[in-house]
Amino acid sequence: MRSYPVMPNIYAETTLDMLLKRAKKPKVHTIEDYLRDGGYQALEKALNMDPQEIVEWVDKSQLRGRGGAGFPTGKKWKFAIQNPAPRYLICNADESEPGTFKDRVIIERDPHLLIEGMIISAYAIGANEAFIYIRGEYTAGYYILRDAIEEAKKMGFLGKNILGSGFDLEIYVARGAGAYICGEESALIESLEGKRGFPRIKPPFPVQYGLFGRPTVVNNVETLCNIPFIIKLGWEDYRYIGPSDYPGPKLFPVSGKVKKPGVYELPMNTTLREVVYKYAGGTINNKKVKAVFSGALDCFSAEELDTPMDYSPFGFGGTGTVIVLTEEDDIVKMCLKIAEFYAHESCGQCTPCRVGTYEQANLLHRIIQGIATERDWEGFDFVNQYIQPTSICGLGAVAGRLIRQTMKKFPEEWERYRKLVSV
Amino acid sequence: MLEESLLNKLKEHAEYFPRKEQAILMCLHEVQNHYGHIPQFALEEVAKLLDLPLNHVESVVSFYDMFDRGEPARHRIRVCVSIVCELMNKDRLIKALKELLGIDFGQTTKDGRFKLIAVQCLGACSEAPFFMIDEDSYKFESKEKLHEILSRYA
Repeated sequence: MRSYPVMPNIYAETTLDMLLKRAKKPKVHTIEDYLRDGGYQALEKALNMDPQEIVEWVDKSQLRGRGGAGFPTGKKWKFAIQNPAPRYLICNADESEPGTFKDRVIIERDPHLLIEGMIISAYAIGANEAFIYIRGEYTAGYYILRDAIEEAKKMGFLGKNILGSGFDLEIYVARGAGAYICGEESALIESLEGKRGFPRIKPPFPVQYGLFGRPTVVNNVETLCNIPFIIKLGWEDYRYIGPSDYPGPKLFPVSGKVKKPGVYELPMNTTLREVVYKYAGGTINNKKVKAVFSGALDCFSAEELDTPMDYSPFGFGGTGTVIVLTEEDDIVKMCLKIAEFYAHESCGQCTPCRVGTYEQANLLHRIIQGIATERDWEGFDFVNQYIQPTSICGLGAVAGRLIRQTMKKFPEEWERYRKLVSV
Repeated sequence: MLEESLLNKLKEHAEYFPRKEQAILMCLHEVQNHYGHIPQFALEEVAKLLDLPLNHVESVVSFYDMFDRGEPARHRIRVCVSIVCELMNKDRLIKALKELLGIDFGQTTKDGRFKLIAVQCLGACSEAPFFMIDEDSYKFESKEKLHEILSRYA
């Protein structure tokens, strides 16, 4: 076997043995490993089904997109197939939000699960060309996917007339080059067309006007890895996994001040408290949890540890990213890291976001240094609200969100800095 | 002119995708791996190969963070400065790197061996503090271990 760049040795654990059945072991699983576990049997079953029926099954399974937005996958597919072929399938493997490293373990350790999911999905939506857009920093993942696709081709799972079904599919792998915004689906499409990753104004949505102007489904890695299970189990049995409203396995990347950081595969009726204490082993030196940041998106306080890890309005939602902060950590200083992230990753296309994220970070920096004036505070207050309604895409829409949440949930932390106001 | 071996790699990428302009990022990665940065003349070669206007290639290069038009270096060290690495005391890593290399972020060692770059989240947060050297990923453990890792890159 060829050697790959040095990969991180991420700890992975599962109570369900589905998405991480193999990936919990830090090794690149070959097609032989995958076949030994019954791999590509779901594909065989799917190719004997009507594509429309697969779309129905995925819809009835209530699978929601695992890339952050939680949009129902079946609904997205239904929108796409209303529009004429040719259609494209894109796997979004541009995982780049702080604290998020769940897709990585599947890509690096169990690439065939993703590939099988993609072939079934492409068949269902009637796509003969599919793409995986992987972030530039996932170097090993790129080579692993390229090799796995070759393995699958040799076995007749990809290429022309797959397993005698008459269905053709090619999967191409494209690398990004260090732009968080390319995880936004329309920016990803632009990048995949060989351009700057500027988000498009929506509508039209990618299911109507996507890659090269054709109807395109963009699904996250983890989402696509659920598809073989829905086919294998049938949508009814799939819905018995976890809570009935939010079925299926979910990956939770846990990091920060916990004893056992890593990726955990759990059902969505797990609570945040269980993720932190039961699975991730509690906090380092048993310090008190102060807050959990869900990536750069939401902030949960210690009083909210009973939040379910699902997609309900009061659920944890998002990508399932858990970053644990304890009593030793300064919320405001950590907000600066979030503000710096958005400022750095704003694509610069629209003014509210380009200037707003920069000013948000700049003013917060002044606040922390203790040199902010009353006017700076007013500006800070204004700017992190104003970016949201005026930006083209989701990045600007959420750039001030976590920070505003901390102002409500940790007013005393902000008060400490307010006292530093200079005239 | 690009060297034959590099040009062949770029042609492979151009032929790989359904439309050759899709190969632009892959081509630029190859150019940077080869030269340790992206020299001006290579932009023109990439534009020619992919039938794109030079200003299009320029706009792409300047958009993506990983591409470097500055001073070349044989190896680039990318250090995560995002929230999780901050929580896990990334300053230990940064201090050790600066001491061992004698350079700051954005600088290249005098012998052109290493360039030090601060980046946003690299997506391996359970391994924080985290850094990459070229295509390899590492968790920071100690200054001694770091020294040993650096010695693998000539």
